[in-house]
Amino acid sequence: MSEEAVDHGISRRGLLKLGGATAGAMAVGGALAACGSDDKATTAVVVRDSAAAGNEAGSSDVDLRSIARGKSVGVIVLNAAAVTQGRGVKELNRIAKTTGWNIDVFDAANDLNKVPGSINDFVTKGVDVIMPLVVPGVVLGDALKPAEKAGIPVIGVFTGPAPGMKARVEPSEFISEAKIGQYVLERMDFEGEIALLNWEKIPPLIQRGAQIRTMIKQFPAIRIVEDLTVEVPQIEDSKAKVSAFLPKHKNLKAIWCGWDEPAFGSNQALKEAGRDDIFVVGCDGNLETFDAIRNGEPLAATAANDIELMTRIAVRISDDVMAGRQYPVVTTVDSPFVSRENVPEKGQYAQGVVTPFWTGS
Amino acid sequence: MTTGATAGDPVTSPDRAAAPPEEGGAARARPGGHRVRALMSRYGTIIFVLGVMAYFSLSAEHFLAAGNFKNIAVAVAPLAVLAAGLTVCLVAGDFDLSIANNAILAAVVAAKVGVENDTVLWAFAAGIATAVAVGFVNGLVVTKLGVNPFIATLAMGLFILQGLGFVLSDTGTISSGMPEGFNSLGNDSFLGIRLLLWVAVGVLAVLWAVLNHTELGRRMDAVGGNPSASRLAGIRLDRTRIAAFTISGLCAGITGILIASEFNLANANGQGTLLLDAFTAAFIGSATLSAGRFHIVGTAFGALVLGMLTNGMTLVGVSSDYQSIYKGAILIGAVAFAALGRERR
Amino acid sequence: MTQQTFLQVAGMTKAFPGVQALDDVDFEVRAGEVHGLVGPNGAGKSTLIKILAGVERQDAGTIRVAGEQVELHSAEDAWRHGLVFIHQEPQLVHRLSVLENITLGVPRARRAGVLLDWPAIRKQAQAVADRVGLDAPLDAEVATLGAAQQGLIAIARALLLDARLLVLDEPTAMLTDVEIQRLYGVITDLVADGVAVVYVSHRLEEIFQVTQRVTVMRNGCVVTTRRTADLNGEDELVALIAGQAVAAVDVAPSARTRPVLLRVRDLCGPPRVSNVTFDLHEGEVLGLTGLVGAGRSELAMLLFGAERPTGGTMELSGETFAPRSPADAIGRGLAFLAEDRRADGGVMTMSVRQNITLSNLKALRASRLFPFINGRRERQTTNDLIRRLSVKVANPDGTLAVLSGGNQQKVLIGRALNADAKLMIFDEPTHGVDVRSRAEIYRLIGELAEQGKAVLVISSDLKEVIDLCPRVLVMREGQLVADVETPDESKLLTHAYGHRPRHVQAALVQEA
Repeated sequence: MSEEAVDHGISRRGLLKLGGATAGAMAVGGALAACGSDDKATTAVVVRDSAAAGNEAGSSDVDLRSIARGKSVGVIVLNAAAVTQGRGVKELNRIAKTTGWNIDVFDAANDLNKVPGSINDFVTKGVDVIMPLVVPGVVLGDALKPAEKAGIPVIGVFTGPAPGMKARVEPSEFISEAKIGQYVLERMDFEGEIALLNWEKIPPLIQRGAQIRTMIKQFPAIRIVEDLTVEVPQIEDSKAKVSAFLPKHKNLKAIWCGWDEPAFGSNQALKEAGRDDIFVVGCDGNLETFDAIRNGEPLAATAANDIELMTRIAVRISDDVMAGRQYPVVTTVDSPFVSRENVPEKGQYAQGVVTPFWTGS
Repeated sequence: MTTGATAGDPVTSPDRAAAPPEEGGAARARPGGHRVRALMSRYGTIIFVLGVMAYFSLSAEHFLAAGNFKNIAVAVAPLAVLAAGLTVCLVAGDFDLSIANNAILAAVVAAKVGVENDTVLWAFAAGIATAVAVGFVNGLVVTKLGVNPFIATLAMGLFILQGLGFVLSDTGTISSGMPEGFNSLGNDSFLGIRLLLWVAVGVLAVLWAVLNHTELGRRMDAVGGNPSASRLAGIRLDRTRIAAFTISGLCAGITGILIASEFNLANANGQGTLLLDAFTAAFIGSATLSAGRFHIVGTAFGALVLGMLTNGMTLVGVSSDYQSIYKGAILIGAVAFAALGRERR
Repeated sequence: MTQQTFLQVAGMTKAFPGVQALDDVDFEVRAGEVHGLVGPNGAGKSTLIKILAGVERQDAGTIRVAGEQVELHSAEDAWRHGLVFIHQEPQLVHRLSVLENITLGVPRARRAGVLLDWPAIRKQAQAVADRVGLDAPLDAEVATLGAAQQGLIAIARALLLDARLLVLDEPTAMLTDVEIQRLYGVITDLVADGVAVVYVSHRLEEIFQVTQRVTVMRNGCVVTTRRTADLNGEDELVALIAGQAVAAVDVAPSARTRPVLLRVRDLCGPPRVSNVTFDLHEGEVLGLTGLVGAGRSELAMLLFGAERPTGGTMELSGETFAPRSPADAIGRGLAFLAEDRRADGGVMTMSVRQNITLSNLKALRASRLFPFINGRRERQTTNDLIRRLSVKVANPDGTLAVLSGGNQQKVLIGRALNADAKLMIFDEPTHGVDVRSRAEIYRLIGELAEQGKAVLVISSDLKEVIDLCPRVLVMREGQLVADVETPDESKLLTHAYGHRPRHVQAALVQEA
């Protein structure tokens, strides 16, 4: 794991470091040790107080030991029961225990219309920072403005940009998908038939779709023979759709899925049909996906979002913002490419790599 | 349409050798506490809600404040408009399940027109006009084609309108290039009160007047109470029902505009829990101050109750795991309180 | 036939806000007797019945069943003590079948204590159905049957419930004479078995036909309890009830010479109405009778625009009249009072006032521009009508549901008057209405005729039809078979049946 110092304020160097860090991460991907918790002194990075605020590029953890005590966070999620969001909330609660921070979670229950009200309520309550978690920024619009007006910083985790957000921490879907796409292209030998399953109605999935399509377009020998939209229920629907089209395509080589659930469904369909000559890729890094990868099933690869790390970074940035220090406006946490070679142990998540883009205040 | 038992309901449970017709104008009652029961039936919900508010006041320091109540009202303003339109439909004895998607479609239309023509007023007008047209079509389908309103509006809302919203918005969201001033309605205030709230109160007042003081409202009341008798009394059922659906559509349109303006974007997937919340507000209202009948004041109260529950639990810091459980329990409790006051059959 | 006291009510007192419904009432019914209960509206009959049915609780007083004091807290309690109630609007579940309704709530035969033994249940149900003369198939949906048959289903069910005291509230309201005789037969059988029967009715001739004793109530008190045989005919009974002599009804003379208001030619329509031809004159009271199922109400629906005719023509004041909806008909000056007040007449959830003005909302407009209702005008108009029609209502802004049958009917008449009707169609106008209100309604009908309005009275009550209408149309199986100028019962029955059945003839003779 290359540990390179980041000289904040110089964005171009940061970008170069990004390239280096990414390549490094991929190269050493196989060497990633499985770990889900961050209680390992070897990966902890001590931040230099005088210089960088924000996290160092290439690091896979952030130090929270020196953050201020007793702050309060208002978290907004769309569905606390969803895997990704649940992981984030859990991590926040864990952090809260050691730092004395108070975490309040507002579960919008899939109703975006409740978000403006929750912002106002958090303002009334007087929280120190508001943290939307996996709430798509593109549909927040003006909803965050009241927080801005009240001087409460909004730090988005896995949200995408939105007006009024002071900083955000998220993976780059393009980068995640570039890694997966590379794997797909190589494994297909740059030619053959591929099927796409996606739901291109929200920005992350639109971006993933755009990335894979662009990559495929470079190689005319690769033909997209199926281009389907997944409906709810995701796993059952993708399984049904795949089972339906399999007989039509004797030469199908790969099934690309925009995220892990349809990849899982496709995996089931392939297993039942006995087509182990076809491989499936997803994206997100669910535990079920890791299980399938570990067992050598058709589901072969994914990019693992390290929500826990993102959340910790968000907490760190919140602390910096509140203290008036400088902080990175965008921090990208690379989601490591996960395949059989580096899949984590059962029950563990994969660890991400930090890449801050530029600083500001 | 009414919920629950109303006097004069002829269908009874099996073991009741039901009573002969009443003489004199008295309410039925059991001994001891006849008055208490009548009070409970009318005010039970309110009393229960006051109790919940007391709990919130004691547990959260910021709850009992004018600013906070303003926030609650603003947060449910769009919902109140939507639920008020639904109430009109329910009074006339029909269901409208398309309101949420209709509102969202109106938002999408308004955003699209706004972005492409750099206009705000015409954008809003287009959005509302779309929703009104949808309501009118619902009315036609239900009356002239005789389709069950439940099915008709469900199909319209969940499938047709939802699909249209996606088609029109391409990626599902229209957020860039919004015209100047588009977000004024949803974010600005007038005389210290959010425009959202002005609109909501205005709509509620107008609908209240329509239902209680106009011919149309009277006709809707009759049709909802007894369509057969109304017909024989000379009420034109079809016209009345079409009017109800159109009004419901109009309110959906206004709601869509309010939401789009508040967020300054249109989200084709943004219906959230609006449909269920609207029905909940209307039904809470029917358990308040009236013997199971739907009415505007009750619906407004219901919307405020929903808003207050969310707000209260956030301020108190109730764990999100339990929030929906508590919410459901409190809602049942509120309505049950009123039901206790009604004659048990 | 034992004449032991079965039911003993002593000192029964019950007050509602503003009204003393029962005041120290004593009431006693013996096993094996038919005990009539009569009195005007507000007398307390229904309150007494409700208390016995377990629906209300008395403020004071005791109830003894077979010598044992009982507390009746619910319908189940009443039923368990053998008290079964049947009232004028049969409380059936319309979507279920006849069989299911007959056995509703009745402990049913089971196999192995768990599974329902349907063949045995069917047999039981068929047995009681036959006993009461119900000819509808057991699997027919109750909603498709007429009121008469629905009433019979309720009585059949009572038989299955092993009643020891049967309270019949206006049982013959929806029955024709033949069916009434059938019912009397059932009652006779029951009392022979020792069942006590309380017979509540406004039809005084029936009281004399079927009861051994009769109790008269007025204003919450018992006026007297007498042996029926000791009474000096209906007049004495009426005098006891009303506390005054009831004036004979004056009916307008034949109006054949007046101009024709409605001309009907060869009218045909669903389900069986065919080639109906008649004239209705201004200021005329025209009767329309026939057996249940003859098509009278169906004809009314065609006249009123509630159904589309398949053939024939109608003219109103010389102009073509082809209403496509009741609204059209009302617009041309027709009014209709339905047979079933609850289902088709009043909107029970709206207030008395609102019900009255329902057919003529335009008249309440505050101003031409805004469709707002002028509350004051509404109050004035309705108060006026309430007074004119002597509607007994404590609060005109309260719902229609709390009014008694007679008063509800008057409200509906008020609605028709409020809409300036020129032609009123009454379908069973005095069904379930007490003596006083009945007289008032007859008087009103007479007044309407005097004012030049045409009234079509559809009724199964031959006495009523003859009293009211100088001319009567008779329908049979969808066709108009007679237009009788000076009607009497035998003429009407002959046409209604097509022949004169012997036992009805006998009943007529007995009555005379």
